[in-house]
Amino acid sequence: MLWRLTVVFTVLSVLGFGGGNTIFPQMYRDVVDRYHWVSAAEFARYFALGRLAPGPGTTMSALIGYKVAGMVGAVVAAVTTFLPAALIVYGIAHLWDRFEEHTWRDVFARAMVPIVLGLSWVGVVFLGRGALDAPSAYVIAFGVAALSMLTRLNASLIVLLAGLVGVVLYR
Amino acid sequence: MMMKGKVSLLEIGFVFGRVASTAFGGASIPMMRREVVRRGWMSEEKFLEIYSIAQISPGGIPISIAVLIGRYLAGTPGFWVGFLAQTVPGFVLPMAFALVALDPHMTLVRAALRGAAAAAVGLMLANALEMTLLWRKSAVHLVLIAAVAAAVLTGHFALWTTLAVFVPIAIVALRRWGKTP
Repeated sequence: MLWRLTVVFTVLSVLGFGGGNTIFPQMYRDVVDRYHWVSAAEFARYFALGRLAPGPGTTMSALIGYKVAGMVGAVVAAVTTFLPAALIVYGIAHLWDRFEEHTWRDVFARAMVPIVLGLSWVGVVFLGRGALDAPSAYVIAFGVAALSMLTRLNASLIVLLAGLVGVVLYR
Repeated sequence: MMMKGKVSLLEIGFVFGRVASTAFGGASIPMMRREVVRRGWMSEEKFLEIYSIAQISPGGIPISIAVLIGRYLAGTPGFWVGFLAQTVPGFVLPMAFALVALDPHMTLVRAALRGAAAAAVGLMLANALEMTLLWRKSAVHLVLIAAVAAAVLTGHFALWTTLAVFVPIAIVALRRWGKTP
């Protein structure tokens, strides 16, 4: 099981170009659909927890690892999520210095924009499967989307407020 | 792009450790920018360059930025200090928080989490919508975004298939029809 965790999260780490949003759809496929490590609802809850806690925001993998194999699983999932990507970044920074004038990096960066955005929309759909389990949840989601687009409120403050609404509604 | 020796490893560790333990809800990038630019560790332009490397690299952007800044300021040891200072608090604090929050006996916390999960969907939706609207005048971007989403949702493309198929398509399509927003 630890081996499988290592493989899943290392692959996600190495392929996660463009930041966290790219990997959510594949992470959902692997941990919910394929290996049934967590349910869709748990997946959405872990994501929300990652938003509430401070830090670099890859908390989800540690929580999934914890569910699968306790604290050891959490550490394995966290290390395999953080480390391979960081080493690749190191390599990219080296190449970047070496090929200061080359245009490949801009070409690649520009090509990634629509792909990351397409995957972000998929992330919304997959996350919604677990989180939008009642009409009131849709109201919260659309309300939060409007709040975050129209005001400058801090994201974790918004999530916290929604948590209070949840206490009132779902207790 | 290295500038060894100007800033001590201890300072780097302290700054990134503090950011990792206080940046709520994805605030780490603006926090890091403020810290390093205000302290005179690097120029605004240098930070932007590091930010763009982080964007085209795999992995969480805040961690990539921390290791790249560490490397820029203090070479390979700086890279490792940046890495540990971001990831250790970024693991310990949320885990401690989560273990309390996920305790099944805490019904209030579970209700709160249901609300928070719905809110997280809303935040993702707003983020996807805002970013997509930036490209609303570029038909080629909109078509590519829709094609990627359709390929994953209905064609069940895996992440590696998506990248292998769409990176070349996007490069060619943007070269022919691409504009900047």
